[in-house]
Amino acid sequence: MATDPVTSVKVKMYRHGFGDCFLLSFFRAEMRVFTMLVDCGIKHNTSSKEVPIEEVIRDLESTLIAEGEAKPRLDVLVATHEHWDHISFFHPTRWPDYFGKFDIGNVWLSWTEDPRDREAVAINARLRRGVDILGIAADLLQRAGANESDVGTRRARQAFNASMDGVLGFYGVGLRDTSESGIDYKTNGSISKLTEEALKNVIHLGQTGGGVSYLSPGTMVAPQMLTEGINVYVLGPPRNRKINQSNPARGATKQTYLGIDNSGLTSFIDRVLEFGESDNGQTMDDSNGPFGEDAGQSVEDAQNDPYYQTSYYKPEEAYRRIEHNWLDIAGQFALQLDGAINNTSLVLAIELTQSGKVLLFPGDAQVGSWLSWHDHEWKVPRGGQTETVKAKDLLERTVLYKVSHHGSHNATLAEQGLEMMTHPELVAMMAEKENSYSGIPHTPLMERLHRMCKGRVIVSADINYPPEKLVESRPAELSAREWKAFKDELVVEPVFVEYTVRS
Amino acid sequence: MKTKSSTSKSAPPIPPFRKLRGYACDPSLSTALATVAVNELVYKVKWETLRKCSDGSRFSWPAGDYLEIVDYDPATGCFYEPVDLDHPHMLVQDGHAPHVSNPQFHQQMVYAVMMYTIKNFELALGRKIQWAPNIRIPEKISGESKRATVIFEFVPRLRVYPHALRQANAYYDPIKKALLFGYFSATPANPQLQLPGATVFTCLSHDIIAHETTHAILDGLHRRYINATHPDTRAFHEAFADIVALFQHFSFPEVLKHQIAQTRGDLKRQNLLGQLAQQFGKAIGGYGSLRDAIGGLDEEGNWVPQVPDPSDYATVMEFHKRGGILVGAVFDAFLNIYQRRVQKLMRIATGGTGVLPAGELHPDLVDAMADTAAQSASEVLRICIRALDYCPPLDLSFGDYLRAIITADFDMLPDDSQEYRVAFVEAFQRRGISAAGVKSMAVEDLQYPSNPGGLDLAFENSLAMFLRQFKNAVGYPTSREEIHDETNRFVNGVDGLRQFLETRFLNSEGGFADLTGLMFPGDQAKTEALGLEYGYLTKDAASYVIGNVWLANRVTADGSIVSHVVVTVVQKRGVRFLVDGDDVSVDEDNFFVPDKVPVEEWGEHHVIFNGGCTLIFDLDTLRVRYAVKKDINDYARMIRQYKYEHDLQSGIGQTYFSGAMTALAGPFAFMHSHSSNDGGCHGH
Repeated sequence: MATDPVTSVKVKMYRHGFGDCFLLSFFRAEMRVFTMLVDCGIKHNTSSKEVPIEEVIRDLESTLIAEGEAKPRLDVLVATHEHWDHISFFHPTRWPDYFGKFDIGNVWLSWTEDPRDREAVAINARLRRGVDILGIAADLLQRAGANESDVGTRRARQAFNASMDGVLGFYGVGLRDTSESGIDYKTNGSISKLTEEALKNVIHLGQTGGGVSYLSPGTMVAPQMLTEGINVYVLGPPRNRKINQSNPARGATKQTYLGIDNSGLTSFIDRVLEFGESDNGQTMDDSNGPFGEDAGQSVEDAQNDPYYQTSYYKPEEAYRRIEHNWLDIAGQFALQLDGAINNTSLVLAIELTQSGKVLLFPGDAQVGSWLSWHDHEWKVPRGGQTETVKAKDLLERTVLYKVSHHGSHNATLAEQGLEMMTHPELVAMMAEKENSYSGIPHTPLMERLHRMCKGRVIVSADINYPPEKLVESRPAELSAREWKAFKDELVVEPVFVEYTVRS
Repeated sequence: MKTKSSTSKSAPPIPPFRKLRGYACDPSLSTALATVAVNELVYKVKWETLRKCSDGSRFSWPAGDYLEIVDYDPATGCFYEPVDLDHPHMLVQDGHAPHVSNPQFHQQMVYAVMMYTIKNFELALGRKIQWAPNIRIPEKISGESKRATVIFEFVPRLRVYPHALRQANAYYDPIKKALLFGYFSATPANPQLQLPGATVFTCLSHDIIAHETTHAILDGLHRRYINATHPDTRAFHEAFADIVALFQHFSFPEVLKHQIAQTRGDLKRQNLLGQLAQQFGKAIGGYGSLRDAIGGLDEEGNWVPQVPDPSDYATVMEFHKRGGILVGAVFDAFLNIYQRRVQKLMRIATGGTGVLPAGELHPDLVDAMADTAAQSASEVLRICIRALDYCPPLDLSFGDYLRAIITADFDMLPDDSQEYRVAFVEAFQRRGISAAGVKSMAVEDLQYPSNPGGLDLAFENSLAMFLRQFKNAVGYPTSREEIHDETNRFVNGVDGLRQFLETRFLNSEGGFADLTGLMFPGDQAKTEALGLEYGYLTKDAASYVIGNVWLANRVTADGSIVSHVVVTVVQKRGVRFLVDGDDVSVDEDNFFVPDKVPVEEWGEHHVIFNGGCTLIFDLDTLRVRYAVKKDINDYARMIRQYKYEHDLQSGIGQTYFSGAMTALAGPFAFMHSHSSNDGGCHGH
């Protein structure tokens, strides 16, 4: 049944805090014909007074409920990747099961979540093990915090632990949470992660609805899952055989794809896991030492040794002890893990066939993912012929870029990415709240975005970049005519910002 | 216990050296046929009495005047047995033989290289080095309005932990006053380069040990260089540590000759001498050394020489890479000096053509070339170290360092017949490094003006006269603790320098403020309105700190003796800014005293700003020879510092961990994790 193509898309970005939640409504003239929700989450242990999540859910319901229907209808639900700030509100028990009352068509996930994909299973096993390691290391470090005798070091250690907590928060395993919920890292082996539960519920929503699709890069979403007049290209996450190597060998051209780079960390990781397996985390086991067994004195013996009593164990020089310094590398490990999971983001380019305009939703994809997009070609039937589309074409035609990873320094590629987005109507949307993480948003990226978009950068919840300002005063780079055209398509409300792309 | 024996008539004299075997580079060169013969050498380090053991179970512990080795591996929960360097078996065979799986050898290697590095510094500086003090800030006593006095504790020995970490890294911890070395499993790109899974110990690498030791020594000399107030400050720390490690390669004759023979005397070609951390570089997945001063591998893995780019200084900001610019400049200067000198030898050896015949070089020619290289290298290293006495006490830039090099060298060798100074200027200029506030990059303009004036001449003479007492006080003691105590007494004691300055100069018309770039605005209200503390360590004047007081007693190249005293003075202000987009200006009505105002009230846009001056007094002429200053009232510098710190916060550093990671893992790590992870692909 050939119909008129889609004529416009309204993209609604909710302003509930640090986290992604985007509703896309596709219109045929004045009729809403297709809807898609991309993520719904918030930074761990935060909430917004101004825009509580209940208001977001209420708005979603009222927007999506059709006359005469009992349930609000969502044609597609997309969960880009397993981070709390993207999927927390899909959790079934932390709060009311918000999405249980929706009529959900299809659920789209990246191939990395597919339980039948062996590669995906291996990746997930490694990533989960990484989170386990991090949890144990963070726990050991947490205990160390109070033991530092130097004030400055103690403060630095506390800040460090808070950062670790922050990264762990992406998986919903914040340490502060741990003691309350009684999750024990050491004894049960399998850690219950809130993100895992949230993602399971997303899958459940799909299974009870219209089904779950796991999408692979280089493919296109089947037309029967869409409406007439849009194409959806899958750009990421990348598939790469190397990711199953336990210790990726990396040469002069270093590029971290989905693997966590363990180089140099194996002995650290092994030891942390040993701590995790032992009952109290304190037992000494020198079988894993670099010089084999019986290589030296135990801690107990050293405490009674005259040399160490006048050096290492001298009370006045306690500030020079190094009990926990070896664990600090957990910070680097945490960053790697975080990057690896960001790179499992489902990356979608949504094309309006009538005009060729593209909306780019990369989740939190980082550098490695961006680079891999250019490896693919898509064969698209157009006007009876087959056209070859490359990532470069899609980037050049992008008119709306959902800024990856809240505007961090390593999630928007320059030459092979943003610099290719040369469409005169380019608009950027960024979900982010002030003072959530240092370095977010990254100032140089912000400046470049402003230049490429001629000031049309819409931020959800950062007091330093209020979207209201875009309506009140004309960005210097924008002509009066362009500004008017932009304003006409922009709706700024307390709960959301909505921008309309016309085909 | 009989200890008389050493002083009895028949006792042999105390040996000048302790000889210890070790690697010239690291264990990796011992597994290659080409280098195995030259990789093992005997370090000759200054003899010192180690801490004796009284219970007879051993002769001594590895703790001497400068170092204290504690081989604790906390991850394994194990203390490895300390090496007994005074055991007769060790003494007669120059210590343990190099061995990767013997922890006692590891301790010996660390001890030998550290002592060797310390010796190089002391030779160049003409005085003993000191570690940075342990700074203790006592908890505030309640009810007392005056702030607590900061305590500076003497740190006699640097703590050394050869197996502290399980990671591909090593660092100097400026708070613990300790070096922490790590070990890790190798994950090489090519199994031929390094055995995968084999344990690699950073404490067995000459380069890593020398690098980290230099961080510690530099921190002891200029403790404010730890503050990242300028893109160059951190980079300088890294660069300087690499420079010392590199030039020490040239003091190993066997390696030197081997490499000279291999490169046929052309040290601009790829060679081991210009490379740092061979094994480490391969073990973490690279194809060669971690850093290379003269070249690098291209995308195909072929070595190509480095081509200096004049825009580097303006564009390269990551501080290891930025440090590489300075290392490249200094090494370039050295190579040009060497080349000019070696050309003579080549002409002699080739009957005037200068064109070497094919085949191996004559061993005598290799010897002569090696001597030339060793001599040039040791002179360049000495200049580089000595220049530290001519650097400002804070906010150092590469340009400042170049000026210090030129000035220090002028003092040692007024007639630059070898044109060393021109070689340095040229090499720096080629990389776009320029000095602020000079008329031109000519040598004479870069040299700091001597006898800068500012002080009333009678005052100036009386101050220098006063400093002559210092020479007497510290010129004779040999123990570092005694030197420290005497210096402290001279500065802070009754009738000490502090009191002398306050009664004669501060708040007076003597010109001390002009000379030093510090501010002494008068009464308390005026002083505090400018953000300066009042009455702390002074009675009736703005507070300031006397940082270093050093005696520099050196014999110059022409045989005359230089008697200088170096004094550094520093002030601190809290500065707030008015910020509107890119427009940043100093909020002149809103300075604050950092030690009086709680941190929460410092405001979003602030910096803790330092100004200071390095004064070099000539005890013979009784004049101020040089005053190298960073003005405390320099608004442009304040704004630049604000922008730099602000930029750092906004993400050049790590996204989530910001300052905490560097604060803990030490800013002086041999390798910085983020620089390796990003794989060279940055978003903007």
